[in-house]
Amino acid sequence: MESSINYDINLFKYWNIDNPFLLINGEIVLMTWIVLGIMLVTLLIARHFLSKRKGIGRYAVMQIVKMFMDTSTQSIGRFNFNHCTFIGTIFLYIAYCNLSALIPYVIEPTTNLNTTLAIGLISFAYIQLNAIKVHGFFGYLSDFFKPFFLMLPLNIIGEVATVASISFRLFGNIFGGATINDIYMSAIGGSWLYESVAMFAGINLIMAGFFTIFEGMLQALVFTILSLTYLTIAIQTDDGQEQSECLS
Amino acid sequence: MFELTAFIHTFAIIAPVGLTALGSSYGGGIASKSALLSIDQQPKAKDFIVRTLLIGLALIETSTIIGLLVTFYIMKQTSSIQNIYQAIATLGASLAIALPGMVVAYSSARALRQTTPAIARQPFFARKIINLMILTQSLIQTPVIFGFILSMIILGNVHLVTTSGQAFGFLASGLCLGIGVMGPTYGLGTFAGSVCQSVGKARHAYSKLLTFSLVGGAVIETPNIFALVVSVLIAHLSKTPATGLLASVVFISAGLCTGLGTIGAGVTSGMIAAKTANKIADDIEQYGAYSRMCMLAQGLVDTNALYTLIVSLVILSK
Repeated sequence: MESSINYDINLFKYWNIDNPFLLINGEIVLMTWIVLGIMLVTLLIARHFLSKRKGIGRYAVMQIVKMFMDTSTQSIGRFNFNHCTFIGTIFLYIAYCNLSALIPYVIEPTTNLNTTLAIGLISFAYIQLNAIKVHGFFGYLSDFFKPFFLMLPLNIIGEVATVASISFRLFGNIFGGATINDIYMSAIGGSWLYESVAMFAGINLIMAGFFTIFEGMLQALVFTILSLTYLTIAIQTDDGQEQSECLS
Repeated sequence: MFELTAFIHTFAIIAPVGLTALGSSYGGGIASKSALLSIDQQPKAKDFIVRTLLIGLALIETSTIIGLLVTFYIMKQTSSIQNIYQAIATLGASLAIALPGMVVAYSSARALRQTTPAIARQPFFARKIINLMILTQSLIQTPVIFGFILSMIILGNVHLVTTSGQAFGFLASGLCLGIGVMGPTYGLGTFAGSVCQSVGKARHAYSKLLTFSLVGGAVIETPNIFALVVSVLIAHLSKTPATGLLASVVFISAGLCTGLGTIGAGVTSGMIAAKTANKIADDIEQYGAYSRMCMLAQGLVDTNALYTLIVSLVILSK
């Protein structure tokens, strides 16, 4: 985690602009591209399975897609292709990022706040655009003046706090897990006795299983469900409520 | 290092992880007990109840993990602490995460505690109840995120501290957020438990209760935002060196004013919303009347917290 090499890239060097806000963390960008490459490979494999007439791989891919369709349909009340693909993309990307620590020499891109904030902002922008599309621009603005007009600044702060809370939750959990794993590795490292005991007794497996696999999948699920719920609330109209009740 | 400095700094190291672990272990205990009782009541819903318990316990543990993170950060800064003022400022950063983390862990356990009996009552509706629980728990956990951001702000500015005014300013900033979010978070815990229980009673009220939990939760959380505004303002004012005893008195009193003022407003606002959620489950037809009445009452209660915010801002503007 702590490296003496400086990976920061300054795109504005030519114009002599040296603002830390504009620096790009090269290491995290590289890791993100590795994760995207792994995603691409899995998607190509899934495509290969789907091109066959039958087989267990085809069934597994269909089940996963059906799971996203069911989740979005149950929450929103009717099937919408855009929302379903949005939810699936967010879940798969976060899950791949969190699980990428299982590969040697790869660190999770989600241990950097920039990545999680970017995902949070994408989700926020998608939700607000859909709310404007459903309610109209003035209907969307009038939501900020509920319950009474004095609440306007508080409503705006509340919206910003939503983005901060979902991004910082993902960041804090993944970074905390990665830090604990690092400290554990440095504690057992250096002695062949400790390392072999930890490996054969299964302690390594427990640490990786809890802090990387379980925590990573759970945080991806929590992020997805929260985005979906905020989306449901934002695009809800009066007749939409009745539809979701009928399905239950 | 001078002995008192070492004492304060050690306390700052242990407080985040110790207090958050206290809250989350106590909360996890009561939630697990409730889950066991629910399995006893409805053994066929065992799978859903165990899954809910696992998700809920992992969410409760969020505050402990973030507390541990802040503990590591403070431990790393041990060598750079030069005088007692920097130690006091670090204590502010540690209290900003420790006190909210403790109350948040306990309050989100109260939501989980009512969710498992609700699933035992309505096993076929379990997935939506789990969604509602994740939503309410994440509403409760917002103060931990606020505390984490404030701790990072304070820890990033500790090296600027040279006078007592700055040191007590950062301490007041941490205390303001730490004490200020306790009441609203406790109220949110009451409200979230009541919402999950109501869905167990009347599942047709789910979509109404989902909207109501977001709106009601936002109104209960308003005092949290007051506390955050005052504490960030105090932390910003403390960056510039202030001389004299008066500066520290001003910062401490402004922080405590908002911090203590939000406790009553948060707790009672949560109680009002909790009762309203129960009533909505009893009679869904009257949703509009109940929610409007609840909004009015909560708005009136929150006004009291608004007065303390105004007084704090007036004190700080001098």
